[in-house]
Amino acid sequence: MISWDVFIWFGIFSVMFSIFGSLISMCADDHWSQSSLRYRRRSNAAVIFSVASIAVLAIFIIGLWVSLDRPPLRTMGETRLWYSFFALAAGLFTYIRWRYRWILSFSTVLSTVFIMINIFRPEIHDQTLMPALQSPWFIPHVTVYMFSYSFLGCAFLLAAVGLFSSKNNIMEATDTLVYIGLAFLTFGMLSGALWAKQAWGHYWSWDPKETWALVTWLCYMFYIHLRLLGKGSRKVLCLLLIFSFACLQMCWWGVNYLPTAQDSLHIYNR
Amino acid sequence: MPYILLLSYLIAAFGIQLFAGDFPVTFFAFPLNIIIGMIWIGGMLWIWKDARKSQFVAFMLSKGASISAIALFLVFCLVVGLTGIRSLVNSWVFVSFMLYFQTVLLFVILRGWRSQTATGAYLGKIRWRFILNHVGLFLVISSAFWGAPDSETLRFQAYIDVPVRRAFSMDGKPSWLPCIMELKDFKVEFHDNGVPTMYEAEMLIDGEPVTLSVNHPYSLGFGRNIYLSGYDYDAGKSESCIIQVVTEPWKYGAIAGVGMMLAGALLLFIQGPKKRYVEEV
Repeated sequence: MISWDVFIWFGIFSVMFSIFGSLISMCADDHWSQSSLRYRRRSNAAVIFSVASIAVLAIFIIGLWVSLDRPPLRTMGETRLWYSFFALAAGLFTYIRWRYRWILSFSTVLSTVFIMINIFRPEIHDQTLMPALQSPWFIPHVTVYMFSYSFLGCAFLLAAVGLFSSKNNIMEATDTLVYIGLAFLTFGMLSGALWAKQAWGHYWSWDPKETWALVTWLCYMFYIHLRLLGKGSRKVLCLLLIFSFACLQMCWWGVNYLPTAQDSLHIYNR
Repeated sequence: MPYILLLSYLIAAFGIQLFAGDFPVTFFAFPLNIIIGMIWIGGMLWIWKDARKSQFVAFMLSKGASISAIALFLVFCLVVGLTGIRSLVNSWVFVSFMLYFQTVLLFVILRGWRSQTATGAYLGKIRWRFILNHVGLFLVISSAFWGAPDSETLRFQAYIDVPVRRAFSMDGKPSWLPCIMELKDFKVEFHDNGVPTMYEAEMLIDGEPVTLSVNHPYSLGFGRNIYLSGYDYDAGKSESCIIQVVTEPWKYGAIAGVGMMLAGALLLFIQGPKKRYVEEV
């Protein structure tokens, strides 16, 4: 019977496999492409190790599901488990499609952090979530947002460089990052709307968190339309990306401190 | 010149706001919203068909129209986000702006759903990603906009074994429920620290037994759902819960739009920026 008692072994193997996968993808010299953030081709060994690390977690999740006789979605520990799983899956998905250099290392770090928390803080295994959060929407909703934030964070760093550098391929890279980030941002926002309908009764109620999520979404929408229409100088576009990322921070954690947002349904730590 | 007209349009809306207060949303309930909506969309299609060379169409399809539509939406959301005044969405200014936004979006869709050359000759290739993203957004926004007058949220406090026929809207007006509801039993489970981990209500809805809990609403006919939205629990003394009945007959349009936008976002991820546009820069 699979239970939390044996999780340490699954965790160790999963982390080991994903570290191997990201190291292999980093060390293969001939995969470096000179002028961009991406590899020219992907490493099959890296993909195999990543699949193995995901499979180990999947076996644990299925085993836990069977032994609990319910979907493991109710406690903090169980949701952390899904974060680890989806972080690795989304990382591999992006690596296969876009071959970003850093993406497997990033998803490995993200997943490892959540696995470590589950190993070293066993008390969270039965810390129950409040009823509104006990939903199959919870994990995809949060994971796609985390993923989106990481891409848009990279776009922000590049934009900061772009303010002072005149390298041509910077905007090309920010475009790709913003398209991927915006796709995940859209998944996050729309899954949130569908979930809100189920939990609270309305798709959209201009809750402060929702309003700031829309602000962030419109900022990046503004960016890609300026690019499509060929408007805006490099400086303006870089400043817009920096501003967009500031709005994203406001949405992520800033609203918790905003005096006008204290009635938000999204503040769970009170 | 078109920007002066756009500005005057929004200033006029602001003027009406000062004199008449918020937009009378409920006045436009079915069938008035359908009639006006049909006239609007029919009029725009007629202009598209018969007056495509007009200055109106030229402006709606201009870069400035798209950019101003997104930028004004962004500014408006920033104002709501910073001030926290949600009722701004019921203002004449926002309603007028959203009509402008939908008009620009409609014309952009009419032009852009097939690929075309720089001179405007159609190549006939259907642009699926463009259609999913833009028509999806149009469906979501127009369902919310034109459907708002037909949406209703009613709430009441349910006590065990007391049948209820009437509830209250969000602004406190009493209203008849579409069915008779009676709370039969109510369960709460608490964690050690006093935080509830589960609560659910056993109800009789028109004589039929139904279990309501958070994240598990009960669907009652077309566009209507019943939610357990809160409780007042003091074991043995008071046991009641707050039941919410939401009617949104236009939600199916919004769901279709959300589905299209999800598919469109998947294509954004898979395809990324178009080559053409990377080379131009």
